[in-house]
Amino acid sequence: MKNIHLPVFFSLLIILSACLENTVSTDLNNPGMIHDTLSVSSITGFHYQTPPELGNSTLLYLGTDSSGFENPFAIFKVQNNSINTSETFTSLSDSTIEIDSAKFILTFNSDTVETGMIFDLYYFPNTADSIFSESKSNYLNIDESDLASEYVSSARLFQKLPDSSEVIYPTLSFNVLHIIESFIDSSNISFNKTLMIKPKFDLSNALSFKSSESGFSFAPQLHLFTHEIVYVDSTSDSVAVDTFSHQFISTEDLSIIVPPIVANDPGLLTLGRGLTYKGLIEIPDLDSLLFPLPDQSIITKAELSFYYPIDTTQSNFYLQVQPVSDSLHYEQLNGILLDDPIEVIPNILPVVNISNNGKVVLNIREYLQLIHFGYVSNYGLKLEVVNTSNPFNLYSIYSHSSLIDTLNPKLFIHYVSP
Amino acid sequence: MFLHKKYCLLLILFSSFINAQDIYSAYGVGDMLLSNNASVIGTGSVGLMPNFQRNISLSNPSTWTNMPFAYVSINYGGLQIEDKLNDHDNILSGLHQFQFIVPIKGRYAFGIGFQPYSSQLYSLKSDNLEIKYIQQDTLNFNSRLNGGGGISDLSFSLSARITDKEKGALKFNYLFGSSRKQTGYSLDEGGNGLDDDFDGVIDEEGENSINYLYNQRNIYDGTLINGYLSSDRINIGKRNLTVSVSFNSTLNSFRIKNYSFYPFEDINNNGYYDINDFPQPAGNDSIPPNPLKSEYKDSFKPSQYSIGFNLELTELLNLQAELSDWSDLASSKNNILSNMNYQLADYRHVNVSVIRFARTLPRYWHESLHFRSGIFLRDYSLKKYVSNEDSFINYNYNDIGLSIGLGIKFGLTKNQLDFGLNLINRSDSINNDRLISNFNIGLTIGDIWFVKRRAKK
Repeated sequence: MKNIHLPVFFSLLIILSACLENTVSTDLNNPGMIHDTLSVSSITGFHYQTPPELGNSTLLYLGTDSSGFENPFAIFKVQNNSINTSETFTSLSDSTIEIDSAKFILTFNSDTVETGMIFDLYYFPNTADSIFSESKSNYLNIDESDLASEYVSSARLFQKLPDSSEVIYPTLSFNVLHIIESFIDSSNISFNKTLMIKPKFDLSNALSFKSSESGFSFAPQLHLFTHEIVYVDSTSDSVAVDTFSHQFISTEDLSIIVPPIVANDPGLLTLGRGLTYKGLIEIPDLDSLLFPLPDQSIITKAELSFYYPIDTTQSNFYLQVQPVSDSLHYEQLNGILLDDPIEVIPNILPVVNISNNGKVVLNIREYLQLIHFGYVSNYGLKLEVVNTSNPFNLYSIYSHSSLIDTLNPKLFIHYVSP
Repeated sequence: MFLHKKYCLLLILFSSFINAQDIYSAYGVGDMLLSNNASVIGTGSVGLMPNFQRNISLSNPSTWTNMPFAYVSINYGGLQIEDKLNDHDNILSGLHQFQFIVPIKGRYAFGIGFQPYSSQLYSLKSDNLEIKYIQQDTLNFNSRLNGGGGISDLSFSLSARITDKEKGALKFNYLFGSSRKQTGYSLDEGGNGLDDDFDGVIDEEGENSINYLYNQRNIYDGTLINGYLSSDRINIGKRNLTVSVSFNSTLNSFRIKNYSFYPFEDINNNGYYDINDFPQPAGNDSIPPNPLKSEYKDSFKPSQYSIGFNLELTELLNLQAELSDWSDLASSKNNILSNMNYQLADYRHVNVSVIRFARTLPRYWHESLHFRSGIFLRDYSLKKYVSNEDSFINYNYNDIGLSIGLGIKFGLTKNQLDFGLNLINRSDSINNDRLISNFNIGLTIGDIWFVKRRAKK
């Protein structure tokens, strides 16, 4: 026993316990998982209409579009705090501060100046604190004649000459110095700080301006220049004069769009922003197809295909597809609905880019997987055009009532099951 | 003795159980380890007849009353499976058996043991593609099966001398363990003309595959009972013939808890379920449901009968023969035990061995050696349930093996170092060119227990 060195012996055994592992090829006559497909063609499409929802749009519109969309005025609410200094409107009422100039500036969306157009600026000194809501106001619930606006000034588009190759956007610059007291009056803290711009004369086309959603640099803004007198010391009369620039941007802005009356083709499901058509897709047979799937199935692919008339105006728009969170009641979807009654479950399906090839293919496998999990019910899908799309375009897709069967929507599902 | 125990404990802690990595370990509960120690492997037997020392088998408790000392035995083994036809080679090694046996005054004995009962370790891929044509696309499907784990056996044995010639024993085995099964299913839409994994090879095999992984876990527990009876009553002429029989059956039904985890698409191909995969394991309402749990009680019912004969040709030279039939009496119609869906239904073993035992009081060094050799045949019968035909199909393979072993006796307490080697040719209807080498080394240390020591003056 003394001749055997046990630690060495056991260490050797432990080292030897490593394994060499090669994958073995063999006939796996029982693969353990199966792949199969399902095809669904009984898909129905329906659209309903709500007022234009352009509050989160990066552009504001004035004038009449060639499709008949009227944009009579745009309305702005200016925030109380300067974005580049620590001043507020109220703090500017200090007697040591003198306002030298005050302008309201709106930036044109194109770098080419349009001539011959005059725009008028209005404000609302006699109205209560709230004039509009960016998310809820629309041509049905806001009327210019009811707003009791007062004229402030007029302006034309003006473009500075660029120093180099930089892009200089033309701007509308309205003088508001004579009404600025209304904004800085500390005794009237409920003042609405709202301005309205409308073309002095009818415009033959729709012009677009940058909204507050386009960023601080180009947001509509009140631009104030002030100077402040500061005594150097209390025993002498010597003074110093400091000049400041203050920018108060618009935090809410909205152009009111009055859509034209459009006749709908019964075979088409229509979508749009200015004429706010939203789509609903129902796949009634989905439950009866998904629930019999084996337990623990994975939806590997689910392509919901639509066809649409090939038209250059329909190219490159973005479509948002969201599962509906409650059962649909079509009888409630007649006419123009001030409040959209269709609630959705957000962040399940991605926004898709629609290219101009006549076919929309939506990947809805996450939605079907959640239905199979039992987490989501099959109440349908809501289709909306994303806010970057031109609000004056209409997008149509063939719905189930299409006369040509091959153009009807289809859903093709691949799944894998243990 | 304490030092020896310490080494044993270390070995247990750091060693893994032996695993046979081949398609055979994917059948049923895996490879059954019915020969656990070096002396059994050296004779190519199932351990019923004396092979450790004269009249003693470490695997047959009814022979333990013949032990002169208490023993601690550790066995360590390695296995190599060479498949020459398919050109693959797998090697694994690990602890085979730990035993502690205490004889009491030559009349009784008890022992505890710990050894692997069965083991699984396999990595299999399908050698043929399933092809589907769907919507003008050609889809190629392939499968992979991976698994690992096994069942361990904690045993407690009691042995007693019934008469001068007959001895009996009971052994209780508590079987416990777990195994993991992974099914990989890949879908390939064919080449896209791109080097997707940026390794310089365009449309490499598997590069464009979408992989789905399905994991399952089994947890096992159950109790077996073994009965042993040995008799030295028969003589052929002047030669003594020892006969032993044993049976094995389930005491408590074997229970299998199966956890079926939700399959997922392994989008980042890392083999693990993580945030990049589908369905996502975290996020808004997307977490898959909990694993499906199910419990089975009748999927594994092992049963075994063995009989063995040992003829003393001379005092030291013994001729042995053993027959054993192991069966799984369960008629399971599910694939809960194995992804391969095959269940090991029957396993028959027969061997003939010759042993020259060491002399009790050796005069020369070579008289301290035990020489063992034998030949054996094993026949395995698998069955698979075919659900669409509601019937079982059978599949057989067999082993022909040669065994050789050596035991070195040393020390006053008859300590022993054993080596055993099996060379096995495994064949079935498709492949008869598999060579299995099974090597085992055992160290057994003896000591005296239950003897009243004299007090030191």
